Amino acid sequence: MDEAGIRFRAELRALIPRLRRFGHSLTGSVDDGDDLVQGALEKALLREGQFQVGSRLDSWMYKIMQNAWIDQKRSAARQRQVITPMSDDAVAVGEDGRRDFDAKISLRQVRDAMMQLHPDERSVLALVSIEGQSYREAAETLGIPIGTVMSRLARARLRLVQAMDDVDPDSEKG
Amino acid sequence: MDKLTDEIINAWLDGEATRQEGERIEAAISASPELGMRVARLSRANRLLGPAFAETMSGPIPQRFEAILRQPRRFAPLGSLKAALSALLTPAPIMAAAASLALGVVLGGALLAGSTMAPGITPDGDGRMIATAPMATQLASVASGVSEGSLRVRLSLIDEGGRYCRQFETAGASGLACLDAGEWVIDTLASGASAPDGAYVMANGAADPAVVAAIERRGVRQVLDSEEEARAIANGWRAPAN
Repeated sequence: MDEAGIRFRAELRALIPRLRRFGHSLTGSVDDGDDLVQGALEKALLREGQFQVGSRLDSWMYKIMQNAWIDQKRSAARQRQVITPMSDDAVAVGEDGRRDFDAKISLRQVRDAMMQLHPDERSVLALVSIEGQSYREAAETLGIPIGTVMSRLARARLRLVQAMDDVDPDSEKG
Repeated sequence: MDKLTDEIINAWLDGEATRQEGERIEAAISASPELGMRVARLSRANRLLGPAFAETMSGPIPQRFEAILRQPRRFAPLGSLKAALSALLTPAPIMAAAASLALGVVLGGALLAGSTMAPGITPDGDGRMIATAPMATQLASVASGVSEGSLRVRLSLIDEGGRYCRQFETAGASGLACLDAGEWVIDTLASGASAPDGAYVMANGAADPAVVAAIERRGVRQVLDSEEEARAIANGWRAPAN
């Protein structure tokens, strides 16, 4: 294999933890997320020559995963599949034991809340809030205008807050 | 003054607001505990997302991914693929290629007349070449990378027209078969050994340029990975989703 091929693979390998996280946040399941990662890696290797050197490999991979996931969602909708239940691993998130909002919310509940979002909103939230993409990068990854990124993000966060409030009835409403 | 919309507040939380917007938000929060609470709730929801999906960020990379990255290339990078194709389309290299490759490309039934028909292939009334048993059965059932009888499938894909296609090799020939109305129609059959000239050999030394050209011509909507292929085999290659 030539040097470019070796470097390409090394860069892909370095991205795998983040790609897995992205897959997890889209699908709600590490295993289902890993299936997306596997498909994306295979596609990336097949389309290696189409990757523009100098452009963002992470964005390219997120895009491949996102498209594959939306395709899956469409066929799953046809088959009326139910979202795979997540493992029960509730962990409280109170950093210092104070009675703050977070102590009442488990990470599992955050994941559940994420899964209640519309797929389009979930994608934007995953890219910006979890993967740390800028609005511009998220817009490019998803092929939508920045204004749409902003409106989807606002809707997504609002729904996320509401979903968390639903499982956290003691939290003070604003 | 414009209303402080959720979009602007979120942009501020994400570090995407302008300085002016940031100052407005900070001033508004100081003036309104209610707004402060709204921002705090948005911020909290945001802050917990990273930890909620941190599970895959540590630990070793799963073997399934390492294995994919170790695979040899299936195709040469696009540049050399194009070079190989354009070389084939130029008269002189075609002669050279034909001589060195003993390249016998057969496109469609018309050109097939007089040449030796591979076993398991029969022309139909429209002059198309149709795979028959045992080849048809093998094409429908063999996973990529597995040999059955004399047939070995290298790759399964969905072309731009939404048809399943399989790139295969059989004794002394390689080709591309695509499913059309329940029949595996041979799109291209190329006889001859691998090329000695590196320019014509795909990275893994396997794919015949004529077959690659056929794949290029049909266009690739999607290359099936092993799981997608297994599903397609299991459900009898029902029409892929559009």
